[in-house]
Amino acid sequence: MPLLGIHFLSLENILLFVLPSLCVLLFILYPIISVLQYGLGQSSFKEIFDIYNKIPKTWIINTVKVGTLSTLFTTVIAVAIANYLIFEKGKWSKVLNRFLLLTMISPPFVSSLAYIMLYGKRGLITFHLFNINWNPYGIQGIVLMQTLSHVALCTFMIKSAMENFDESQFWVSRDLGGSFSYSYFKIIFPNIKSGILAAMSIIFVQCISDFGTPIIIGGNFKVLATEAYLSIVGKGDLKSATVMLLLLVIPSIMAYYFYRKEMDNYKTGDLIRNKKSSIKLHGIIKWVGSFLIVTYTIIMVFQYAAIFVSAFGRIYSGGIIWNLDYIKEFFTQNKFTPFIRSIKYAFIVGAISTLLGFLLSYYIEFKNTKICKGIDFLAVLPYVLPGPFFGLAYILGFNHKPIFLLGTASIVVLNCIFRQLGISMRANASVMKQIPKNIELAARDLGGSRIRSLFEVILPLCDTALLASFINSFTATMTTVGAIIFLISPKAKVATTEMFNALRDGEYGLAAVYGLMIICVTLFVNLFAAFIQKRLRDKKEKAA
Amino acid sequence: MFVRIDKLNKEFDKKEILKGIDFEIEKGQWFTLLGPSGCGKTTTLNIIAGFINETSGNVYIDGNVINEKPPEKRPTATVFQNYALFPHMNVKQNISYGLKFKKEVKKKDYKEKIEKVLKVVNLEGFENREINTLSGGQKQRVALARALVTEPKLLLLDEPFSNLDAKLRQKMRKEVKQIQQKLGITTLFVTHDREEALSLSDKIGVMKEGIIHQIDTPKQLYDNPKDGFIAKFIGNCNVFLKNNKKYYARPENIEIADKGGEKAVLIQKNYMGKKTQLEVKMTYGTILIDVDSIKCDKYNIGDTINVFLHEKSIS
Repeated sequence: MPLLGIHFLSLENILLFVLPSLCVLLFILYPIISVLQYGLGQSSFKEIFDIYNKIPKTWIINTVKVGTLSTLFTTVIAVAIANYLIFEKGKWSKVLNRFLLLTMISPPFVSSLAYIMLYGKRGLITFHLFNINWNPYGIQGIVLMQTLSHVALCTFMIKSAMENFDESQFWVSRDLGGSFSYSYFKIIFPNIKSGILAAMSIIFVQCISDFGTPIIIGGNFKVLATEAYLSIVGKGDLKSATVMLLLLVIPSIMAYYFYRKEMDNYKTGDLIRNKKSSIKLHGIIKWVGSFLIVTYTIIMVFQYAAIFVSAFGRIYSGGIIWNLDYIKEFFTQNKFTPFIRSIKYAFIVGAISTLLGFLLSYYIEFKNTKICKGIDFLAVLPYVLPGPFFGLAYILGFNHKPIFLLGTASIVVLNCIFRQLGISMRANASVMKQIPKNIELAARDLGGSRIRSLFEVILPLCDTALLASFINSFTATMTTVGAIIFLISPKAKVATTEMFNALRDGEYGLAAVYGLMIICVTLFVNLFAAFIQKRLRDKKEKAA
Repeated sequence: MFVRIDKLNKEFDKKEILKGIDFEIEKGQWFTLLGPSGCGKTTTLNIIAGFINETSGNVYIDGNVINEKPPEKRPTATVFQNYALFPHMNVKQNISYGLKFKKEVKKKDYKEKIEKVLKVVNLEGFENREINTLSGGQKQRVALARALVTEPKLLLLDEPFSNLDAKLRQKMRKEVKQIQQKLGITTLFVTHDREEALSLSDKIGVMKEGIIHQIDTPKQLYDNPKDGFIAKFIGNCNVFLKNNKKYYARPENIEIADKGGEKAVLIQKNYMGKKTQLEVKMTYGTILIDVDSIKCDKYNIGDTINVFLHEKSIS
């Protein structure tokens, strides 16, 4: 009997759809329910309110303040850069694009590290160069760091929304008498508004769930994510951590709404995506934009220089003394093993999340039943949820029978796989949307089984999407901290958490080496992937 | 002359897209640029509208050079192939968009102007409809109304019918032509569809690879094409060499007789309803002949028949 359009009991479907779907239920839905039950279910409302009332309201206000400011600054810079990348295609726009990709694949906290090295109490610029004595710690530092770290992601999200703009609308507006700025704000802007909102809400959630930056450079400035982290790690107080993190989940529901809306926003027409845009930037938009881009780029170049210098030298008031002490320390077994472990995890996560993403999006795009839609809804969820919340969900879901995973390596890997699954599915789905749906019927009509047609016909057509999804999951795993820091056992440390610990303990040199090494690996893998991607594309073009 | 395009050149990535485009349009005339895709017709239109800059050359409208001006200062209005309606505005807002930039039009007159133009395009009462609730034909009318309401001196139509299905296309062609004649608006139309060009235009410029090969009335183009390319592009045509000279013969002009003429061997019969197309082999190669279907039952494949080509020489 086909149930909702799928014969669930055929062996193929059990392997290709039922099993992956059960994994989604088990590793996404179940932990989220666990944390909700722990936070809301077991206790009476009075108990929850007691915990909530104990949270100083300044933490909440601070959280909103940081999130709002960081998001606003990030978005303004990102819009300026996206404008430039779309409308000024040329040599510099390519360089800028690559540079942004580099910042995308850098681990978190490199900005904070550079900030301390450059502008800290003993900073290279503030202390050694200008001899100013100032306090870099506080909200200004957090907002600046979060802005710098999120510009790249925000830019790419806004850029992809802009690429969906039908530019003849802009020309009609000019044709009818609108100036450049008028047409930009009245025609282009409303068209990309939903994309900007999606980007802003994702960035907002990431900023408010960032506990690391405030710990490193927040000073006395306290935010919810940090306090939640400290109550888990320091006090083992999961109850109040749960309540605090649930507060952070509220805006992520909004983020989910906008993100989802933008994802489903499938446009046709004379889109910029398919060609070189004939629009050129003009006037105030051009000049303000250029100023922002130049400022951002200079700060970022300084940042990478600072990381490099701190990894290879020590700064004294007289200058820099180069040495390899930190490098040597990094290569001791204690520090090097977590690094290798990270790479291993990243490969496993990349492979599995790509495969799962492929199978699930196949069923969603080609079979589109209600069950598939439900799975799709769940799979995107972890990406928009606050990282620490998803980490806590795993603690509470897997710290007891029937599935006890706490302290194992698998819990870290599983957490990373399911955090990135939504992105993998999205990458695959975007390609599958363009595959004619009857191509599979043609293959099966000629005698191929579903498994064969899936792997011999559909899979090769998705090759670039599979690669993109692998690279995303690999890079994310190499650079993530938020969710997994709670799940790492002392026996199975990974590079990012080690880097974070080194930073927190003031071992900046070692942290810089970790940062640099992570960048090297992600950069190498990304470049290699880009090389393969190019070859695949060339081959396709040749064939066409 | 009301519109004059003077030696327009355009280079793009060191490739010459337009090579000295020259033509003129009289006031109230419908002028068509006809050519295969990639011939530069849309580029020409975009230069006239100001969406891209020419490498050299000039565009005159009503005696003024306009190509120095940005698009918003030019007396042109464009209807795009995909209509490019603003999806975040309703019909009324789309149409009034261009009025806002006309200082001489008072706000209180908008309503009247919008009603008037909607009447012209047969969309009375559509003011408050959202764009995504409109059908293809309705969208097209709104796009046309949006352009017309600004009273442009030159209306630019960029393949406006190609997104419509065959039946609707016929209908819209007729309507747009009627509106153009009623308003007497000077129109430049760009298309790759020869039927469209022949039936709508006062004059046609046939373009290929950045050059206009011939400018003439539709009838002149059909009856006296300047070269083989135009003869073939403007209608079905046999082009062949006879005594080392190039000739052409339209399939419908070739006669079959009982005796006389030249010998030809029938190799294929393609029934097409009213007409049947005969493929015959002659010393010049394969020639196509259109014959009324009722007259050709007597011919069988393999028969030798007598034909009068009525060929004309061509360059």
